[in-house]
Amino acid sequence: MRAVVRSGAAWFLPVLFALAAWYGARLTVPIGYAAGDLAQAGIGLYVAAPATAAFMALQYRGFTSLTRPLRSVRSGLRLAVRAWWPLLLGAPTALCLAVLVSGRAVPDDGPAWALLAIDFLTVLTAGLTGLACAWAFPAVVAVPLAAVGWFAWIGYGPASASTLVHNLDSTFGCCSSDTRPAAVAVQATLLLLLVTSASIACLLAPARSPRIPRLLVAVALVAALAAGFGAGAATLGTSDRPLDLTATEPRTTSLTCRTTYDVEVCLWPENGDRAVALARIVNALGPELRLLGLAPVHRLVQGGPVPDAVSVEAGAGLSSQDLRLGVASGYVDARAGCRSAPSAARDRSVALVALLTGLRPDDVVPRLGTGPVAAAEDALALRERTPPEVARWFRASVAEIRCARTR
Amino acid sequence: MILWLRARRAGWLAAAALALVALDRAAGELSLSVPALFGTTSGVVFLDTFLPLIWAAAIADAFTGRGLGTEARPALLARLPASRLGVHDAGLFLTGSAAAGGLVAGVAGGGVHGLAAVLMLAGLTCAGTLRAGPAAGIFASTLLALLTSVYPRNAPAARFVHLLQPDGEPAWALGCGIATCLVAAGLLVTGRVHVRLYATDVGAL
Amino acid sequence: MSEPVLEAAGLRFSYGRLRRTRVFDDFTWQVAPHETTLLLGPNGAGKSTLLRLLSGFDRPTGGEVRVGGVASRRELFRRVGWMPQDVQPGRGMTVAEQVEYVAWVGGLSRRQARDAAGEAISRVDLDDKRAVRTDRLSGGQLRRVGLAQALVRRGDVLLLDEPTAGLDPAQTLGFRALVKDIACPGGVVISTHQISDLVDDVDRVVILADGRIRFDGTPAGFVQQHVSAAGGATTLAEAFSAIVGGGRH
Repeated sequence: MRAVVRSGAAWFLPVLFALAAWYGARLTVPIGYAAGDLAQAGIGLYVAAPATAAFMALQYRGFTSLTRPLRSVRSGLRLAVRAWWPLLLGAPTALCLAVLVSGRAVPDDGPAWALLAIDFLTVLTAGLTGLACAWAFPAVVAVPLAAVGWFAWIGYGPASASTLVHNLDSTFGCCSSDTRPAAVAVQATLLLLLVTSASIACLLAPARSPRIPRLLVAVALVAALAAGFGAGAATLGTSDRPLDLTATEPRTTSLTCRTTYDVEVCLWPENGDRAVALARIVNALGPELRLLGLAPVHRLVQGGPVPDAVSVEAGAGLSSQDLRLGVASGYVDARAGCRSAPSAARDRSVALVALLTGLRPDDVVPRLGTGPVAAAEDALALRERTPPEVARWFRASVAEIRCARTR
Repeated sequence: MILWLRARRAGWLAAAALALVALDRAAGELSLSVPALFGTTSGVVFLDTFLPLIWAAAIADAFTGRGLGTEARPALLARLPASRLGVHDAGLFLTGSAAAGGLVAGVAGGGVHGLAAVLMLAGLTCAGTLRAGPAAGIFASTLLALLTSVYPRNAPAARFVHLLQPDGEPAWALGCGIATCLVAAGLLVTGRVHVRLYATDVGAL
Repeated sequence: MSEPVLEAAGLRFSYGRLRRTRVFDDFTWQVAPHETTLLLGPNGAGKSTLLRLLSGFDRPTGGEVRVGGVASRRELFRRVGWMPQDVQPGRGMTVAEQVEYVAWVGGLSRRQARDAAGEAISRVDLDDKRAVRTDRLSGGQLRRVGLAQALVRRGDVLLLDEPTAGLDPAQTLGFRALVKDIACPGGVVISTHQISDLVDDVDRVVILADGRIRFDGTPAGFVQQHVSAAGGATTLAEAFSAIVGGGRH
């Protein structure tokens, strides 16, 4: 208990938890997929890692001199861990708890656990880096260096253009319902963090001469980071598995399919309870489409485009209006033959189908804008007299749609 | 006077100001990608938000000696109005910070927000250093830079919280920067310095 | 006794959170002019605190410290020289530069500071070390620098806080000789907790314990009163222990 108070953990950890949870809660839109929700809630890393590094650097100042007499009989690592375990272990734990709370999710598969492990190791490594910086540099340099270094590491912009750097980025840019963190990227990131932490631990570990020059420690610290980076890069370089720029790969969990109202609805297991609602929407849409001479829907699939099926979203945070609009978007994509890029033609096509699902124009305008909805309403006005005209209008609009560029 | 400038590491202060300007010109526009929730305009934080910490670190280092070592006893006089040490220190701090901020604003193209950021971090660091030591001073500034950078753009009063960021309210940021510097200068002049009487050494006269 | 230059009148001082730890309560004492006083006491007796109060470094929570009959911190600063327990080397400064810098910070002009520093350095016998950086001096030499810093303002009273702590026997002897040679019109006060230190070289012995004076007299009086008589004590150390212990229990 004394260590908790003396290390500053007693006040720092609650503040860290509150900040990380607040950020996580502001950004997270629950989708029901644990890995996705945890990845979103991991935004707390932007604060937790730099703040932990800075605080460790602040607290560790002078510790080397203080424990110098003990260094011949006790390992430096043992001394550091005995004095700073509340921060070294507490800060990563506080972040993980904040991620679990703000993501409102419990890991239930490998990728979700891997993300949580990366969160934990990132903050642990940040704390160790803070210790090493405070050892290598005066406090006035160590504190900002440790904090800004970690902030830059997590947020370095051009990393998005580099497969290597971005895939070693701790935040991934992960995950939606149909994607998960790429296994090789997880390995590379974990390896990077483990090697860096272990190297810093080795740096602290021996009972070494008190006269060790600071420059040597700084060089060793850089070597530790380089070793970690090299290990991660080697993992990526030697992998025979392809990586995309977002370090994610398609989710391989099997969809759960059920047939209701003659509609087969295939969803991720966590969204199974949405199947009936989606089937009802499609069931109600069928007669409207047939009236216009358009093909009805018989199969809904969550996630990416699938031949002969309409792609939908069914995340936990979506309202019934979102579901209807999702069905409309999926229907238009299916007719266009690809995931379509945003355009006026796409919006008015989606608006038309959305109105056919029973949505009121007022519900659609906030999402698609006034113009597309007005155009769709004008087209639907012809429905009573000349339904084929509406179908022609729809097909012409769909023909104008261009496919979205896929990465 | 020369000895005092040496005690304040005036050379390091000048080097820090030049390094700040050079880095700001060379790398100030480098961006860090952050979630859209944060950032200035489109989910980016520019590196120049953090560069004034270089000047802040130099300030913390320069005024570390106050209240310790050889100056402790003479610094007592600083508790009396207009002491030599207090006036010289406040003058160095204000002119140095104004010059560094001016260089960032003018030469490096940082504009008003660049000047405000330098003044804000210098003032906070100096005041923190005098009240609680240099490490605490620079820690406070680092946290300010970090937390204002990730304060959500759509959160309440974001324009006023983003003191160091380009999307902050320039007049407000500059006002806060000047006020913080004046507080720090006041602490320097009145000599309400942190003196670790019982934990560390004090100097003599 | 002639008019004292430095005196504590009804001094009260407490420190710590909410100032709960009381060190002095209605403490009155005078530094005798032209005398060298040895302030003895166990660790934590309040010796250093008393010297800080007398030098003006700390403000008393009650009562006042007068120098030349005036209760003014500026006057204290001007007329009282003080050497703390630990003397810090300046940032990359030589002996001459450090002493000159302290004089300049204290308000002397640059020329005055240089002259005063030269004189003070000569008085502490460090002429051959003028150009040596203070962070490369031995402990004894650094204490001499501290003494020079205390002398540089040419004050009336000199307060030395544990000047021989941590010095080897040879350095202690050298320092004793140095202190013997230093004459201040308002008197010299040397604090220590080592009974054998300097007791033969001083005019007056004061024993302080728990913020109160247990003995105030000449060394001879101290020996006579306590070594031969008090509690069967036969040595200075035993007599000191008897006085301090008696005060505590």
